[in-house]
Amino acid sequence: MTDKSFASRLAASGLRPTEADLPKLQALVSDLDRAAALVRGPHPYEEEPLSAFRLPRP
Amino acid sequence: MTELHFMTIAEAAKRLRTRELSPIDLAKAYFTRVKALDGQLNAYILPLEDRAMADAARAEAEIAAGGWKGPLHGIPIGLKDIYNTAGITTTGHSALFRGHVPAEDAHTVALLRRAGAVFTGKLSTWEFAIGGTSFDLPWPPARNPWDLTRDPSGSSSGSGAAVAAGLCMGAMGTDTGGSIRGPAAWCGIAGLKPTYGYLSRRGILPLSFSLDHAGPMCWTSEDCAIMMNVLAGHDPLDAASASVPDVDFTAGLGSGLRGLRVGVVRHFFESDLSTDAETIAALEDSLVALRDMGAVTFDVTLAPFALYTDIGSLISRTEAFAIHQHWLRESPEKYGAYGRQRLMAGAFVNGADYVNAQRQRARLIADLAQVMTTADVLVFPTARCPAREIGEDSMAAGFQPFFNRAFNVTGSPALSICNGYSASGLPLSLQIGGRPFEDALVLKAGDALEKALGTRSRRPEFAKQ
Repeated sequence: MTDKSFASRLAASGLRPTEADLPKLQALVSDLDRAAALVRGPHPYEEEPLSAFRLPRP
Repeated sequence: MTELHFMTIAEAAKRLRTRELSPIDLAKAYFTRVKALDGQLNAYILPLEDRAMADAARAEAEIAAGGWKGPLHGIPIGLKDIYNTAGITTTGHSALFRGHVPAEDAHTVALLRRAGAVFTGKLSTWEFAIGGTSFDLPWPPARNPWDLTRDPSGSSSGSGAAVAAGLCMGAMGTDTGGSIRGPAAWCGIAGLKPTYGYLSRRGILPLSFSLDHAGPMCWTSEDCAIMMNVLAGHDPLDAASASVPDVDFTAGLGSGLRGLRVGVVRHFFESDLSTDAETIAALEDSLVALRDMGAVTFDVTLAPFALYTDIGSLISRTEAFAIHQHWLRESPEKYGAYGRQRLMAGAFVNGADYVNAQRQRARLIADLAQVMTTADVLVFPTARCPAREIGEDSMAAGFQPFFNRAFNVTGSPALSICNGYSASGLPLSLQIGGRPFEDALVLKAGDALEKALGTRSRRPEFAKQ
């Protein structure tokens, strides 16, 4: 992730971190970007996440 | 005889029931200590002496009238300051919630109150259970009673510090990514992250809906079991609450571990993350003790620890941002720097990645269930090292001091116990994981190990004042 794309993503987020926040925030985002890359592989078409909605019985 | 403030809940309950011990005397003993020691420890944000003494007087009258309610009647309990308390500020250790006074108790607080517990006060936490050990909040961070220059870990920092120092007999913590087990490990106490859904989270300031767990933190596993008997149960107003048959969490304690199948997740601490030699030596000693009690130990393989961390981070950061995004946009200056940075990071995860992290999570749950057809419990260290210096950013990007995420992601029960001490006198820790809703077995194993290893006879020097 380049500094430029971090800056553009930050602008799009509407958040206003302080200047002092930026290095740590960028490091945290970099960690999340690396983690996200791990889950972008193919998933079975019908595989549902475990947070499925369950309605109570009447 | 053990000093009042170092008694376990189990010991105190017997004496309270027979009126050999007065709830008023017990509460007084604790507040004498809070006044003397907490100026250095910072475990409490808000001690509640007047209310606690009134609760204690009520308990004394009820017990005298033959109305003993059970083992928590008259027991001094502290609450992490993200548990809502009716008419009492619940701050999340944040300037943002400085004036937040809930109208109702959290469900778990109501259960404890009904059981006759005496609430000693609201305890320090990392800001909103995520912010780290911070010095830019309205209250100072809790310190570690084993060495005041050390970090107690978090986020249930005040809960861990207060129990270890004898400033309350038991405490409530919460655990989204290890926030009960981390401070339990570094403060040398027992802390249970119960099975997801066993305890209601209603009325606890949320961080991550699908990863948040409430749980007890006590000097011993037995005391955690006593608290679980009051806390566990279905709450129809918590969407994640499970409806399962009642269990007596203390029933199996002391009945031995013969035949227990113990899987050792050796790759976590031998190859996935470097772990210090004293921690590994203590784990090996614990395995010898387990085998001496008739348990069978063998190595098992789970997914790499980093995968649990990555999946847990994607989910927790996203869910936390969903909760905090309004305040992060409107009043970012009211957060401490660590809390603001960690919460803002969730804005950068896209929706598809969140959903796919949940799909991956389902696979990790299924994989663990398969492994646990061969093992009854799993063991590995809780922390990679003893408590670090306070002020180091223990949860900075790229550094992971604990082996805790795995059981948040899977929702399975996990208990941290003290299994020894370093040469410098700091507690070492062992984690025991189990199958969903087999929390009683996890506690039984923890209780047996604590007794076999003899770690519960030692208290911090600071606490002996």
